[in-house]
Amino acid sequence: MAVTDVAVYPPPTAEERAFYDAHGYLIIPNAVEPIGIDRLRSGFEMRERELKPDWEKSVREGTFKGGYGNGPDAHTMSPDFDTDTTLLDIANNPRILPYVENITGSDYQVMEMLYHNHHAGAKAHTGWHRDWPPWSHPQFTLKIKVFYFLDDQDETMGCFSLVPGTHKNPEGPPKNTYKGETLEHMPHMKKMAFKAGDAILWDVVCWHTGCANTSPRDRRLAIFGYMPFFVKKYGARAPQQSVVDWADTPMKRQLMGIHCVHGRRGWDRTDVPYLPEHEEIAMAKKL
Amino acid sequence: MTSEQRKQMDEEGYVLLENAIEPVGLNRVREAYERIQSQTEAKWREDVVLGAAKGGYGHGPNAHTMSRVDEMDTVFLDLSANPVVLPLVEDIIGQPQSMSVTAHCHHAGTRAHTNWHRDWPPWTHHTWIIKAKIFYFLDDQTEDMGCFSIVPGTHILPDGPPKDRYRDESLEDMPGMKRITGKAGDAILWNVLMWHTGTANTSSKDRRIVIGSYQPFWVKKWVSRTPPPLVVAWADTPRKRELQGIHAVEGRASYDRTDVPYLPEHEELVKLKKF
Repeated sequence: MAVTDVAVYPPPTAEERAFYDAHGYLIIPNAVEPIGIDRLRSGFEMRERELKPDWEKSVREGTFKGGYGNGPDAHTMSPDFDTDTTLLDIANNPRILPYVENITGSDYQVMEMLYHNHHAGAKAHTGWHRDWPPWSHPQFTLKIKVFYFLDDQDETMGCFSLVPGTHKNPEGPPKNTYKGETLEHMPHMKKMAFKAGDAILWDVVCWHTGCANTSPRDRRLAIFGYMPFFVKKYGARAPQQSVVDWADTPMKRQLMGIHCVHGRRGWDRTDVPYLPEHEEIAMAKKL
Repeated sequence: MTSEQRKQMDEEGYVLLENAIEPVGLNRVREAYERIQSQTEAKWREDVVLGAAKGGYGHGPNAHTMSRVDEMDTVFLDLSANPVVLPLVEDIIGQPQSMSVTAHCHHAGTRAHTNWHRDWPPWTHHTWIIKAKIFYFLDDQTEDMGCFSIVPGTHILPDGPPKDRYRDESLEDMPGMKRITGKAGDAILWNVLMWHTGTANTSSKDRRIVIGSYQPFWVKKWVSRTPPPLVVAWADTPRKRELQGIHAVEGRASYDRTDVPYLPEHEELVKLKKF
């Protein structure tokens, strides 16, 4: 199915939004459907084949570094948009974007886009934490993430786990109390085990962790972060040309953090020319 | 920040700072202000005549906004790092960067150059604020000078002001409105979520202020523009690099500019970071 900017999917229902506000997460069944689970798996597997030798070498030599526990217990993979735009299309998933807009505001941009493998038989690759300080807003969330499950997941697969409702706590988790052998003793911890193609959309202020994958199956995810456009993204580094080429509508330009439709013109990049229709939007702004 | 200042900032949304400009020097700031004003005034007047004046802080017939003066004269960079003010900013922002320094003239005998508003969506945190501004007064300011006006305590409200109800003739009917006056060199440090406006300057004196603004390091600042050499040269310590939004001392290195080389001592800090 072609991915378009046309919003043909609805925003969260009032009940879903109330659930999100109370618990800090939502499950969206079969969220990957507009893009297709087969395409997502194919993109994952291609990138893993490309990167696995270097990752294995970094584990052998102890030189691994990076987020999401990249190292002996997990492989965090940045995509190559020159060869595969699957994650760009999933970032722009029309099933998910109405939820993103409702929860982070109309000026949303995508931050990280990653593949992640928490391998069969591996220890927990992280401890309890939250990803950002607890900023709040009457309506919006400063940062959400969307995790897509590539395979059916069960509780033995080291699944993503969070403590519902903790996005409202001023303090982070007692990570030294619940670590190592006691990691899974965290009160009210909920393991997120769902079907292939489902997604969890969650407030990154929620206390969360991964667990040991005691199963014989890899736990495979695609990871996306969304934040308002006013948050730093590229810095001095110009967006990749393949990303610019992909972003052929004003809303895609905003999604990629290049030029905003909603938000200040002063936050737009000047090293990428506006699309003609976007220039009109930008010049009509006061700031 | 003293506990009294912090309490006032939390409850009312602002603090007044007597003679805050002293470490940088009132005369030094005035001289730089007047030089930039003389350099930009003809263009401003031309734009007003042509109806082409555009920009923040009511730039137009009733006000002359001189943007990014911190990229024109290091006195304004020094002002952004004012040792009297910066510790207070660090208390309320956490890891601040100076967003910009702006010189502003609201001319004698002009109408209000803005209406009631807040500057930013109401993002809040139990310790920090999303954006603070400081207004330094270059002259004694009285109530008839169209002075900066606020409604104390409104920074905690979810909604912005009823700006259509209190505008033009009724602008100054806003309940709880407080006009901020002070002596030359004084300053007000305030939370930009507070409802605020300017009023008509009915006096015979221009209202001249210098505006500094601060936000957390993770908010966009330079975007694709390389920090100018004047700024980079001035920022000769890691803390100054952070203040100018170039390289963070604390926190992730992924927000650091790659178009400005690290100071040697800053590079050592970066090597120790996970992200």
